[in-house]
Amino acid sequence: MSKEHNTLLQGSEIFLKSLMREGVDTIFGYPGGAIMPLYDTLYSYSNELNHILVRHEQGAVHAAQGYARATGKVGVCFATAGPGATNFITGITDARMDNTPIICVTAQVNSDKLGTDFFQEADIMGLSIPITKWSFQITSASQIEEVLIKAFYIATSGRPGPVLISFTRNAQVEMAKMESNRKAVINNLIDRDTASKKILQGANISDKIYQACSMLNAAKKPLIIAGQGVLISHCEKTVTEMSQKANIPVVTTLLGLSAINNDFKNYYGNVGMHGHLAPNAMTQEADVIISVGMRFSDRVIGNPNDYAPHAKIIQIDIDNAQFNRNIDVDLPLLGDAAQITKAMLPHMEYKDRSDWFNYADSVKAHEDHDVIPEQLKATEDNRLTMGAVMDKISKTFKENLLLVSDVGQNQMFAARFSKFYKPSSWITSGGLGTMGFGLPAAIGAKMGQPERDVVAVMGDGGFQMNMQELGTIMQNRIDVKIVILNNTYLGMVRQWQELFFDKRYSFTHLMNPDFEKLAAAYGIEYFRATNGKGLEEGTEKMKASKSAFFLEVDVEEQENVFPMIAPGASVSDIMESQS
Amino acid sequence: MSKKYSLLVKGASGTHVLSRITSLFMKNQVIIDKLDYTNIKTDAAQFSIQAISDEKRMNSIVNQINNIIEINNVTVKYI
Repeated sequence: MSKEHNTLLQGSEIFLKSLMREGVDTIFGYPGGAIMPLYDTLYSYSNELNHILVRHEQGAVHAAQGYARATGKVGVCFATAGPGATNFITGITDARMDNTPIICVTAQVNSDKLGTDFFQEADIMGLSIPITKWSFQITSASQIEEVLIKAFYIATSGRPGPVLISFTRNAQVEMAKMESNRKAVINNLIDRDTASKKILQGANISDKIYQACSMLNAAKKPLIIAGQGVLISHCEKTVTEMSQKANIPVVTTLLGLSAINNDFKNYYGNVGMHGHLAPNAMTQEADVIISVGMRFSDRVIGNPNDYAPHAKIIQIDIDNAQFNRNIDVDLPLLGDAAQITKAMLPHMEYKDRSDWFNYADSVKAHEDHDVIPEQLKATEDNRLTMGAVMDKISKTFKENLLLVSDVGQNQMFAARFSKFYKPSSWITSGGLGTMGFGLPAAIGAKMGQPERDVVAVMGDGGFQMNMQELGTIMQNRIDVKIVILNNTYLGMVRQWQELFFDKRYSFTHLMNPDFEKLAAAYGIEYFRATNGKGLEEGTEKMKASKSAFFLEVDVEEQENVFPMIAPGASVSDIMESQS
Repeated sequence: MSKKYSLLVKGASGTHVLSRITSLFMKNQVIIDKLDYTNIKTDAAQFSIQAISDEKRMNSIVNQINNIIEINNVTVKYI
């Protein structure tokens, strides 16, 4: 029995000890009135808990997301009540969409003042319920231990996601004992977890697994689509083995990027709105598609009525709610991707599919020879393209690159032109598409993976949404490499205005600050590249730098991302280029 | 085709559980026709819900309700 069992402790101390019991050593946060007791206790635990003071609460959530995505552990962030709590909302929603396990702790006014519109009272429970996996308001110190045990279980079990804990001020200062039995609490949760029970049953679906293997073994044109679930369940090797053993091409989704080593011979790139040509073409030709941990989002399927018209679809997903949501699935396999793929592997048989691979190779060769070189070539007035920058970044950092993108054209060019050689080398905001995600997420990723070369690639628009986090980088000496693809436009919106709104460029041109002076103000080394030679010099300087580095690259202002499947269009109608 | 469904949801008591269930109907744009909340013991409640929806959307809502950690059981029938 631990010493704490019989000792009365302040609620805030129980809270921090409970976090440490769950393995937490890093917290991203921002203090304020209602959370001051917790921060006061945190002051005494500064050797055990590394608190990163951000510059805005949104930055704290995105940093926690970056940390979680880079490490596979739970990210933790703190904010005060009211505006501190509401500033969490975007990041929480982002984490929900992209299955990221984070614990968001917001302070709340004293429980006897709830509902009185007290200073900085916001109904964060009401606000957060639709966007969290679970949320709970702690009104008494005696609840803390059990709530935190539950919070970590829920954030990480099944389809991972964000949990919000609203921590009233009185509970932070009340005294209580630490006497919960963690194992008993978790066993009780497992007993009650209806979704998990179904998954356990799902893991024993040997007949369905056999059926899936039979479908794939008999297929002439099968395709494996690896989604984020492959990374979450750590079945990257099994999926690669499955592809190798059964001789089936494999592609990824935007969030599944880096699940498969890009040098693997059966790998063809990523599907979706701005994906590679071969994966999208194969989708439309395939006779059997097996998706592993992906949800067939609208950005992948385009027009659902013309998606994969010849294919029987097998979907592996841990969340029952994802089946038949956007498209009809022929064989749903409910369960953990690692368990199911492992069970499938012995039944997979090699089959010669030369014609199918020849088709994929021919489409890939067309893209490699006819499309990509044009996208890498400087423009007539010698302006760099975004593709050329990303190609250079990828080749400079190679296997050690952990690339964090923002949202928009920068994201799509980064996905298109970067190569990934090991899992969790790519972090982006997929489902919600949150501009401003990149910089704080890169901070979190670097805190979680200090040995990796963490590069944040952003547009000039997205960077300015959370550029205050340069202060976090400065104060904590975080070695994040910042790459700004500066086209003085909200590039993706401008592209859509050009293509779908008669070139009516409504409020997408940006007048930007002097980024060199901005970097200097934060003491960050800076380089500006305006041509190929400058890009070469800038990336080498950035790689050699042992601290944060700010590389601004002037790129072609009106470049568009291609290939592109217009919103709602068939995947078959992918546009290869502007003409 | 829209039909009227009756859902019987059993789980933990608490307004946050009720909120989480009703938020799923709101998100899916399905109007609740009738809602009855009963505390059946200290920490357990029963939610009886009637709503009009098509089968696909109702199945999706039921699956999402099943994902709520406090929910033990959902039964649904067409009425």
